[in-house]
Amino acid sequence: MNHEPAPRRTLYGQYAGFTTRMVAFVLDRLIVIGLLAVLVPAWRFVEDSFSLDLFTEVVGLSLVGAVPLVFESLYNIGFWLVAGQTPGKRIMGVRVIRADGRRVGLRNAIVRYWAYWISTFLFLGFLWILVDGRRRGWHDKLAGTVVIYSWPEVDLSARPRVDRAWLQRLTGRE
Amino acid sequence: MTDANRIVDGTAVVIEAGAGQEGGSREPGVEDLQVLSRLLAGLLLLGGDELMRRLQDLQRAIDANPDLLWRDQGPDQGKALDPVLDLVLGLYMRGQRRVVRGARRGVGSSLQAANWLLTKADRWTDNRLARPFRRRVAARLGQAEKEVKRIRWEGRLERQQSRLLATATVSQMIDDLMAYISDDPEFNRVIQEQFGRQSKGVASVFVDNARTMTVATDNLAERVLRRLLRLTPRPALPQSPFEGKPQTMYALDPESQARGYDEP
Repeated sequence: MNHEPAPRRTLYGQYAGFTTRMVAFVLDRLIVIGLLAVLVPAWRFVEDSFSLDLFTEVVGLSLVGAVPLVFESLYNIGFWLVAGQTPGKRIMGVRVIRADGRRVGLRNAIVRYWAYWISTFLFLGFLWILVDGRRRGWHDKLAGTVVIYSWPEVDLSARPRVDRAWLQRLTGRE
Repeated sequence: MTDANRIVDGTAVVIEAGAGQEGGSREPGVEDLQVLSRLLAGLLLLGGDELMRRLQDLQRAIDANPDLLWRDQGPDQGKALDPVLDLVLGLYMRGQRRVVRGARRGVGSSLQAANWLLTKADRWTDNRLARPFRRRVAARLGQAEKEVKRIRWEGRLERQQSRLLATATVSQMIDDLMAYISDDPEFNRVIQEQFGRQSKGVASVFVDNARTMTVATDNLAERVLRRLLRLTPRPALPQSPFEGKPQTMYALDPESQARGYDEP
């Protein structure tokens, strides 16, 4: 009889799950906040040093007010376009691609960023990842993207076992 | 008559399991809320019992061996404010004992006084003029007493149900978690990697660990939410057409293109 081995499952290329993506999301927010904490005082320093006139100051102040939003959108859209992943996603080993497997285009990236705000409403768009068949949030659906794991293969067929009896003894539930 | 029913002072008090439903109609929203409230109450009762049990055990151990008190002097001994702190704490504990004792005495005296008053009132109102009024008051008081007994019995039922619900839920959750830990390949791989990892940079090991843990939690979170929403559990990771395929569409250098994956 021909016993063919079971097909080898790997994590690499699978749809990424909620926790990994949320950790990546939080890391990105922290990175953005960190960068802004440097950029905004730097702009103020430039303003003070060059004694800018009233018009320039007004423009500068409005820029400072809009900086967080503009900077965050550029950060996300730029990284998705160039690498398919922001630094936070890179750390967590996930990548954004189009649902058909191609790289993210400008339109996808822009829609995805602004759809983040829709997903943020009651957090439902993000929670959708937990129940969706392809682990897509609302922003993924709107932008036509998916998020996949992008780190080395994991052999899911090799299944070392944890001794259940040992676990039961450990938790005192014999 | 079910177990949940009792005779209270000759009156059958019929309370079905799930007391508190008026008119026998089951409203899904109210029912869910009541089950959740019972679970919460049960968790608090169980947690409180367990905490009290442990505290009492510890107190008994200290009472049996007073040397334990002076084994660890604590980091803040010998400071100038120590005498004040000792005084305040001593006064507080002594005051607490006195308040409890006083309250007990007060309740006892109040009951005695009420008893004396009722006996007197009984004697004064036992005449032809006051008797009709007395009967009405007695009837009202009888009804109120029955109602109080009924509410107390409902409360007792709820307490038992809450405990049962919480015990079963906690037990089931631990079983599920254990089954998950022992069956889940990702979690097992985490454990194996913790023991088998060698010669990697600290940052890379940290990132690897974080990634592995979050992947394991991805599945756990989905499992828990699907269970809560009563959806069918996913048998495995969702199938992806990109599984195992190199993601070379973003590769900038030939080396990573050949490797096909991101290293931490």
